[in-house]
Amino acid sequence: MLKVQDVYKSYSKSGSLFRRDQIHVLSGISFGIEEGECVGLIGESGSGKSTLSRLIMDLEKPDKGLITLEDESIQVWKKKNQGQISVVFQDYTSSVNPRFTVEQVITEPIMLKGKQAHIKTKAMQLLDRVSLSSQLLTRYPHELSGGQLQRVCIARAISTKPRFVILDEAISSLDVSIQAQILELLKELKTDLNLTYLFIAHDLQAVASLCDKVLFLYKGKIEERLPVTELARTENEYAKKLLSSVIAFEA
Amino acid sequence: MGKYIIKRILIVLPMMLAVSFIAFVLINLIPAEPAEVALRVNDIIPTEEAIEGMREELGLNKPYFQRYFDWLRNVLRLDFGNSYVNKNRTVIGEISRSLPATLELATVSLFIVIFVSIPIGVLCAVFKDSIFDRIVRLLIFIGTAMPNYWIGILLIWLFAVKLEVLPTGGNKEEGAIILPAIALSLTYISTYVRLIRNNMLENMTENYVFYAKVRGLKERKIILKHVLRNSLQSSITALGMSVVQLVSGTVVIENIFSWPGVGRLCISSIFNRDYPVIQAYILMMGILFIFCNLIVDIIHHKLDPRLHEVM
Repeated sequence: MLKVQDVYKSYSKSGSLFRRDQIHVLSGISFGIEEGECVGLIGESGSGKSTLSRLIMDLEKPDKGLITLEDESIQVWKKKNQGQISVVFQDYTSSVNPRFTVEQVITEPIMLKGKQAHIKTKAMQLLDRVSLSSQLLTRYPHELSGGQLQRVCIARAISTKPRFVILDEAISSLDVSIQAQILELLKELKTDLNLTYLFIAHDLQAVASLCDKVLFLYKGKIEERLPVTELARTENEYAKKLLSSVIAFEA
Repeated sequence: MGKYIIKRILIVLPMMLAVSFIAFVLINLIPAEPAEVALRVNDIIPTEEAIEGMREELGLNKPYFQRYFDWLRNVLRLDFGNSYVNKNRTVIGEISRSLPATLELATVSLFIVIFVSIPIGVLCAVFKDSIFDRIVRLLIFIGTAMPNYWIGILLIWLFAVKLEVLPTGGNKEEGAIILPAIALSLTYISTYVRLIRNNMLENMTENYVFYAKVRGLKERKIILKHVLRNSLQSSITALGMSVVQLVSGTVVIENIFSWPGVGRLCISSIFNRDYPVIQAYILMMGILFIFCNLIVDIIHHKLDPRLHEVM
């Protein structure tokens, strides 16, 4: 479904006058995601995960290389398949317009396809889908807890029946107990709605429980790619370090 | 919401009382005998007896606080006494005669500020770092650095003296309001363009804007529906305060352009030591400030759901 081919991205250092003063964030990234697959992208802070996700979402353009969805450029694919790519961000508080109610947040993407009947019922169904009470419809984002708000963001992300969802550190800022609940929800949604996920994280455990395949991103390069079942056989130093820090996973 | 408004109005009452006290005290702190001043401005030689007589007439021989409460009681009936300079004229009459001109100037300036700074601020944010944005930023820098009385003089020199297209001052001739209104609004335009631009840029890097982009919302729609609305709402506080500043800030501009408003009345009263007029002016501006603050707070509270009480 998604193909990333030999992608490069660099930024010029802030305050520098010359073009050669550049930081290479991504160099020669290539990977693919099949339909219905969940691929985990793991790496430490500054490894280029967020940049890569922004390129895939078409918020920024790569310096070199190609990113395609079903063999079409993202811009073209997005025009043809409106609402079929979606994203859940790490920072849920800034992910929603603070002046919108939960109902407005969830229904805005649906309304984009034109006015629709029974919009409120749809919003209620979506809330129910992410295990939230429909009483929250009239609430404002600041009146919800972190876990509730992230569920609202997930409800919004699936409101347009997307096929491809990017989860950009979607559970990283939640409590551990809530993380487990959200992971469970994401798993359910994946099977029920036949979603394709790109799951960006720095938590190996979460990736292991949700994904089929893992990519290790280190200093802007993909160091290793493994099926989740073979995680223990990793050759890569960074991956080993990550593995050894997850005691619970080894047990 | 209702509870908030009541609470807010209750705070206004002691604030108004404090402002009235300050207006009264400030004038009495001026190191000059008001009775003597009242005599001098009417060309009467201030002999001991004459001063004593005048003190009696103006009620200056009464204790301080009694004078304050007497004054306050009259003020509540909108009676600020008579002008020292022209004893036949009441202070309230003088003010209501010159207030419309000031309000006219302030309103026109406010409209210029709103209709110029919003589009320019938005365009600067949308085309960040473009040539347009750079030029506007340079102009803003110059606009902020130049005091408005100097801009006023430059405008008179260019449009009235050199090009002779607009009158130099007064409010009788057609188009006379254009130059003072522009001079008054330029400083505010600089402030608001910068405020709106920065507010928009801040909002444009929020995740909810990225989300709108990802799901294919058109750039124009994102800016109108999300970014502009949220940015303008945070600019409302500043704008509300500017209304007062525009009314009170006309003092200098009115004098440069001989605009017959309260600012000019205030300056001439200061030169003539016409204390009751100055006192009334200070009180009026203080109360205007309190009320604009109140209205802005209530509007802000109504627009921003984050400030509502949790049900």
